[in-house]
Amino acid sequence: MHQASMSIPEYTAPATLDDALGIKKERGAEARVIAGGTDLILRMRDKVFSPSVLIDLRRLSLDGIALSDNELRLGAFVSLSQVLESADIERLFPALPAGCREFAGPPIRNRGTLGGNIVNASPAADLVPPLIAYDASIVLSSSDGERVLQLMAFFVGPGQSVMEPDEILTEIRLPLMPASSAATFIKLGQRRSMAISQVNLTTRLSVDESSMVSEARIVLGSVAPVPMRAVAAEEFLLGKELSEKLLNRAAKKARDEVTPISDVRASLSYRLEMVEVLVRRALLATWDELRGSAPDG
Amino acid sequence: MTESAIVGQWTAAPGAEEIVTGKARYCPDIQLPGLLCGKLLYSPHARARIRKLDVRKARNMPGVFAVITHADIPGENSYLYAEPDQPLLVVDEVRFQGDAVAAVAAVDERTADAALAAIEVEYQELPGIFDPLEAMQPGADQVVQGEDNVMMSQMYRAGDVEAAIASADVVIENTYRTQWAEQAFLEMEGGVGLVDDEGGITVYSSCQAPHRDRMQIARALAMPESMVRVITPYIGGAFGAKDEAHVQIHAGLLAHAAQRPVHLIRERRESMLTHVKRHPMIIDYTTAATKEGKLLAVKARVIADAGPYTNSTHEVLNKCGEFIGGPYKVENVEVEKIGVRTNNPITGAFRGFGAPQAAFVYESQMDDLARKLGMDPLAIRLLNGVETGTKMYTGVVIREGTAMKASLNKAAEMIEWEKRDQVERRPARHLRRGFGMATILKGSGLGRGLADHAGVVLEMHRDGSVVLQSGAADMGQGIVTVMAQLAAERLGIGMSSVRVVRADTAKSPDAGASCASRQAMVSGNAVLEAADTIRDTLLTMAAGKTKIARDRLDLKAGRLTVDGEPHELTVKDLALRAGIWGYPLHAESLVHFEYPTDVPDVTYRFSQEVFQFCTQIAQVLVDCETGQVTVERLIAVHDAGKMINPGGVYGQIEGGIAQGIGYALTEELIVKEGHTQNPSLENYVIPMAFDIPELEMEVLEIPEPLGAPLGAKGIAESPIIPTAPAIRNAIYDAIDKPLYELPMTAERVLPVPDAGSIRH
Repeated sequence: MHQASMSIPEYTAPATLDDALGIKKERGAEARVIAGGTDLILRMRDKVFSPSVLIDLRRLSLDGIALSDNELRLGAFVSLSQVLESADIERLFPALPAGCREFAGPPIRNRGTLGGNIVNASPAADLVPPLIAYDASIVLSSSDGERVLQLMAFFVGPGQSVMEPDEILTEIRLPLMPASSAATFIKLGQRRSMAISQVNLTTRLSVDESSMVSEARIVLGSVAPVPMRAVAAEEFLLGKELSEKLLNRAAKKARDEVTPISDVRASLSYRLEMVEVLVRRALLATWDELRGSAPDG
Repeated sequence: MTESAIVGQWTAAPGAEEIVTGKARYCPDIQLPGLLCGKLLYSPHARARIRKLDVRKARNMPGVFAVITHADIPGENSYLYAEPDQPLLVVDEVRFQGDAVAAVAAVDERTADAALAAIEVEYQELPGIFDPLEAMQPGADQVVQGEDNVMMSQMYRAGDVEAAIASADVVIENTYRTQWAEQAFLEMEGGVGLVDDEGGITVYSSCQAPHRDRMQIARALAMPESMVRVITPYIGGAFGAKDEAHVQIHAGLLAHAAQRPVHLIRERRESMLTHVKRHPMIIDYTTAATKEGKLLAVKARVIADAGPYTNSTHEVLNKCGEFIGGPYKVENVEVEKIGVRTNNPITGAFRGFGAPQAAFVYESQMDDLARKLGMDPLAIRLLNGVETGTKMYTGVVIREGTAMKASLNKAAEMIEWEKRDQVERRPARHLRRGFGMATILKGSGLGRGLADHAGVVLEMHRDGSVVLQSGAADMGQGIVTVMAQLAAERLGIGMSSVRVVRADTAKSPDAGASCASRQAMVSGNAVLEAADTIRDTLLTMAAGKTKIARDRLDLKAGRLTVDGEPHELTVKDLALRAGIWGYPLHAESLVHFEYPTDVPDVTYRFSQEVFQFCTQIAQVLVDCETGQVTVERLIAVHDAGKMINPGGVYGQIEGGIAQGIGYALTEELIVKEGHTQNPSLENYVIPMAFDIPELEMEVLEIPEPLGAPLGAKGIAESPIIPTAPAIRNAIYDAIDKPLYELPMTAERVLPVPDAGSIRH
């Protein structure tokens, strides 16, 4: 049961991204990027990770939030508190700050970063469902260049991703949403703050001029080895007119798609049931918002 | 005495500024030259035979100053709270996941870790005994060879229960289950041991019972107690878990072995796996009543999973049985108390000491009974409630019981109980609102027949300042503040003139443990007695000097008063005068809690006779689809007898309710085959601020006539006790589903009976 003392590795704060990538190139998985450290330090203490060097990118200004005509770019070091303070994010991607609001407590939100929440590859990561629901892509940089991939394609298993040992996550990109699109974040935990999600999810719906569903995203966390989309439920909604009955049926379909486990936070059967309840609630809330934001009210 | 200047005023704790600015020294803050890092090697198994234990490699490592096993303990290899059956370091068989096998002291933490890793232990895993009901069966494998797994089996009977049940109009029988609960104090258990100049051992100890710690350290070291000194630095919470010793004995052993100071602090995970938990209990309970709702009989069988060692199981079960009938007039009571050994976590003291489990059961039964009879939960409680002069089934006569019904009525008034049906019960399709109450009693003090005493030493200096020495440990509950207030009040001086020396066995007389909501009463009386001796000297001197009759004189706000008016002589003047004339301003007192002798037939052993009464009412909102329960309102009406420090009293109530909400809804140590699955505060879910509503509190001040300083009585334990049953009854009211198991997690709240009607 004993928790061994944490070994304190070499620490460096390079002045340029190239320098940082050079260290990654040379030392690979031995080198870990430290951002807020809110997960990394705990995992180092528990010996899950024992890096020989910590690379702190604080000098690289990776905490920018930049809005252009077609997308919003977020540096990987943007903190959860920064997300909450951004009027652009609140206006354009409200499910993301909704996820941040229920995330841990203020000290952790001040330290914890978007990039950190992604690279942990935790199936319970609260910010991943809203990011995926908004079709986020991410930029992985290495000294050989950079690659851009859909966030959805990043996760392989609990704690595992497609990131190569020489890569660093530098940016998150969110395409601007169509005008008639809305999204809802819901988190279920055992308490109202400082909880690890039993289930978390984001739904997003867009409708076309004739009020038919043109886009559907149902993204779930804590119910599979990786954050997942309930693809069959999404497809079921496409091209249909929204109704309570329709959304109920979509929620049932989502329940059939998830593969949760039992753990100390919730049983498998509870998670299954909650997926249906919460997907239904989230879709209904999304629909409400779509109706509320429609020009004809 | 004239109106209180200090007692009854909101008073900051002496040292409050140090605490909030981080200057207060707790065990982990203690720095000493050459301080070593101590660590314990704990068992990874719930039950295993030790086939080999070789510490030679670890001993030979550079930077390692001591490695000890059971063979290196000079004296007794056991803790001693009640029975000496828990080893300090295991000899041949580990019996739960928290048993310690070896201890090391090294130059730093890394070296200590490396030394632990170098200890070679070969375990032969043995099949464990994890189900108390199976462990009770004749012929069951024994947790401790040669010892019956049933470590305690006591029957208490009053009246004729069977006859009363046979004659009853209504009988309600249910089985209840409660969980292992963790105290979750902020500061982990710790001790710092050092060898003093005379070769004795001094230990700084985060504890509730410094003098009992001293005894335990001395017997482990085979040293006279006179050579052992225990000092309490600031202590960051305990809630009962530090009443029993933890690592302070090992800190002393390691310091002795290394002949260097050693610092031994548990980490959170170690802490959660090793210290005593609240006993999980299985309680079969029968309530018999007339159709008018009058209680006729209570019959209970309480089975507690004790873990492998005795710890305070006897005492906790004793209290559970003492209060199993609740604050009600019921003459026919039968309670069987059974403590069973298993290879699960050890169990013992936790705020309430067996009473929270009892209250969850008897207050749930009251609502089930009220429902069956179509009665109002308030009415049935008022009908059966005890009063001043009620003779309990234990034989105890309640000296002051006004607060039982007063707290019920006040709480009902605060929430407008009669109008609760006018509140929206279905604020949304999936939401249901409900109201539930619970009213309880809990004794204060150790109990009749036990040595319940406390001493203090008080000295006033020539400048009028005072030093107060007491052996009462302050773990944050505020006894230091209360003692300083009582001394200041009686001596007519300000709080800043009183310095309380935190419990130190070399300086302070034994005050017993800080437990059982007893210190404000017992140490409080000791302070009053000692202060009165000094006060007498000062007033006698003043009478001599002023030629004014002694009975017209008093001390207040730093001055002598004559008929209540300030006189030119100050307390300081009088103190200086006493010093010059050689009058000692020094007093020692030893107060023994006196149990009344006018009640001849108290048949329940170790009965407490001063009672904390209180009522709580919860308003909850249940999400019928997720099972989540929101406590929307919580009304708490408590009797403190007399508030010495109102801030402390309200703080105890708030803290108790917060812990009670956790006990009710989320807190549960999940143990599988003796292995704790959630030994961290990440997954052992204590409530946070958002989970606790703005509490609506009222404190009654009905002076306690029995052994209470200025009428004040303990308040520490009662606040946690009614919270869980109040919430349970509110959930029942909301969704028409009675729950019989704690905690009432979302998964247990589901399925909601009429959930079908929620869907669209």
